Amino acid sequence: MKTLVLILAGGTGEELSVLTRHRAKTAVPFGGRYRVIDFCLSNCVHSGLHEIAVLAQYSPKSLIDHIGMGKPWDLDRKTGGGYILQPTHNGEAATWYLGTADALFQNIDLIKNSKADTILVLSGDQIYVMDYRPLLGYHLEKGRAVTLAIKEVQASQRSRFGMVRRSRDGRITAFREKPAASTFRFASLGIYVFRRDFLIDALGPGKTNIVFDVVMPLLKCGDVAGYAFEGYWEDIGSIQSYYRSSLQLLRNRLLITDPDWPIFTKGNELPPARCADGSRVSDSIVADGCVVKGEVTGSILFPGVTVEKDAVVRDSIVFSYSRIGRGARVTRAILDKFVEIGGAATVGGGGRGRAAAPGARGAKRPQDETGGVAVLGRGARVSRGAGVRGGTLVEPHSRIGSRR
Amino acid sequence: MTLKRTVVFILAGGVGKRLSLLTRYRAKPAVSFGGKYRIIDFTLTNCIRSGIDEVYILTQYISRSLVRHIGIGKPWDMDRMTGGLHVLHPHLGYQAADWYRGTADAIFQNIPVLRKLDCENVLILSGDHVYLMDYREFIEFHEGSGKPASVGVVGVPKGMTSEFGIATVDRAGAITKFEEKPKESSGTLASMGIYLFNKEYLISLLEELEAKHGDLDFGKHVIPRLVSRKMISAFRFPGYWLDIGTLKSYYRASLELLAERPRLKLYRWSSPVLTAPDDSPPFVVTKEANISNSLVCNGCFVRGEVRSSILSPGVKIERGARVENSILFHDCTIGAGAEVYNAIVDKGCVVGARAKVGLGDAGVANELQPAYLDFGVTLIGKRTIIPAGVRIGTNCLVSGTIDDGIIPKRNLPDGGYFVAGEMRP
Repeated sequence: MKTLVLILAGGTGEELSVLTRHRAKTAVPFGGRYRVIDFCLSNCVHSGLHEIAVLAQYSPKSLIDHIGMGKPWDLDRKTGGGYILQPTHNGEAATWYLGTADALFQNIDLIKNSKADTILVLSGDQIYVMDYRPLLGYHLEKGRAVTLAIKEVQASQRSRFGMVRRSRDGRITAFREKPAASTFRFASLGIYVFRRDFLIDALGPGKTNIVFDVVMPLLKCGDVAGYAFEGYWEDIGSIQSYYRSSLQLLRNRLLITDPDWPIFTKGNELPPARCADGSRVSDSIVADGCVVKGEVTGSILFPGVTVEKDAVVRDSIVFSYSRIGRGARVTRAILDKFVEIGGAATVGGGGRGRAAAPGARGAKRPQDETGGVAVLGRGARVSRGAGVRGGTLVEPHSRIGSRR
Repeated sequence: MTLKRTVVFILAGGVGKRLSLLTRYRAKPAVSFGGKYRIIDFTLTNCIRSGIDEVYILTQYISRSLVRHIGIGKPWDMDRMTGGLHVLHPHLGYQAADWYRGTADAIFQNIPVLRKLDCENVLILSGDHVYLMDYREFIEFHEGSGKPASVGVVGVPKGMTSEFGIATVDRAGAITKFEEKPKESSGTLASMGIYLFNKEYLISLLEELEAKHGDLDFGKHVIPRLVSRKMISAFRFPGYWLDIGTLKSYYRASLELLAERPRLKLYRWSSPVLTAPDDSPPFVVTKEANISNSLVCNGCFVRGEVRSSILSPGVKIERGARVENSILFHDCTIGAGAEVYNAIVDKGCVVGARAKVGLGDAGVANELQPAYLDFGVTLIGKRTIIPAGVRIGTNCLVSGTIDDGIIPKRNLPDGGYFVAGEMRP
């Protein structure tokens, strides 16, 4: 069996709000030094899969910059290897990728020209560690046109997923997209294995969505198998789920620290992290190049973050090169790259300090959207002594509390 | 001013005996420094930042780890179609060949390589130095000096002249006197051991001198000859420069990185020191951990207390353990409740639970190497396993495991050693 991997990485990630203004959802930083897509790329190479196309479309620069020729994953190869495919003009009427199935169809030449007999389609925006070999083995054994990876989820979570019913012999017999309530126990994980010749036939003009236009029509004839996956799997679908699954890493750290399954990523060249005299760092994940002089607890610091003296960072996620000024307090917040928090400023938490006025430039406060987490976009600046309440979304490069 | 093309030769073959067990398995330029670096990273980073893209590294002594670290030079952008980075090991050839018998002899033996180079200048560097320098300033000085040779010098305190080659210069920068390790000297400019030559001049000079000295050495033979001919100038480098000569200077320079404002500027985002990348995750600290005044690398896992120490990638500090004033190399594990003070712990060591290392009377020098190990530091060699519960004093030398019969399950007094016969440095 030879497998070609196609990773869907074109989504706009609107649900991640200010974090995806300048980057693809799959390029969102995660876990102190990674990007979300590192997880499925690492899964691929650990599973012995080395022919990988990443289908990008939205803000691809961040993704291209990160993946490059695929060197960190040993995907810079003479044959196979990794490459990024964006919508192109092919001489006929050209469009953007209109949906998941359309993205595959627009690259059908790649599938036709490949020597692979099996096509593995993944989503680039999920956090999980999975050996694809048992899944591919299961697909081969069942001999169906399509095999879906599925996972049992609790009743309260089912409205977030495409839920499926699995028969006793392992076939998928029904599919409901985000049902209000469902008796189906398994969620589809957006991981599909296709028989190549079937996929080539099934794709075509007007077929936009993999689930509705490719998988659903097969349910009746019983040609869809379901492979139950039991490990950790999380879809970064909202600020809330991003925040939650990030901080879960503090308990579930094997996800990134397993020596047998390292997550590969683009390297950085920063010096070791420096915990200064009088600093207090506990229950946290801290990357190279950080300089901590204050207190950091329950948090994740990406490379090159500075936490000045008497500053407190609690239950927060801080992306690369952000700086938290002297005496500032950052609680339950996500700071994107290059954010500057002025001295004695207050960000997130119960809303101490002066809050950004609801009408202030660049700030809005949709409490429900973020579950009370303050999110500051790339390069945002909070002036000395100013405040940003929990739940506030701050657009990239805006200034909060600047002097009149 | 456009500078003429300069090619670099890095001398990386020295034995580094005074680093004791640290250079038992590796060349001195490959010794770990500052947690994630190797000593040679500083020189290689300087090269690429100075626009030099053709570098030859002369190795000789246990070069495996060095060659592996350097690879094809990718981390320094030296993997190139033309130029790039190359390792020159002593080799047998059609004509007589030999080991490199001195620093200048190493260059002499590579004259065939030198001849073919398309360059005006040859910059000769050492792989054992820790400093950040833009060589373009040196090259510019050299080209303006009107002499065929230049040496980099740094100011040193009067009391330290006996450790260096000391130059006296006239107003134009030409060297008028050069003394090798003088007890007392009126000069305070120490040679950094980095030399810039006009290529053709270097070749003819080496050919001339090699006939007289088989163990041709830059400090001993070449520089004095240039001084007597008034053919060499001194370029004064104003920055921080350190020759990692002894275990003591290594330990001091390492812990100096923890100062509020270290003289070595590692934390300039625009010009980081480049090294081979590693895939470790960011470091993880648990609730019970307490870290202060320390450098911690990716891949570390800290549950205990760490003060004034350097943790290289992959170090594990278990619950209740305490590490102070110590340098821990890659992948060391300090067991639960163990204590490590004033120690240099080489790669992959395990300190067993509740063991205590490094406390004692610093006045008792090491029995085996009193000259190197008399300053209150214990050195633990690569992949040593220290049994649970034992006490190891200060100024101790330990290398081995219980299984290989080297380390008995008993305490070691100050200045003692557990080292296999064939390993005794």
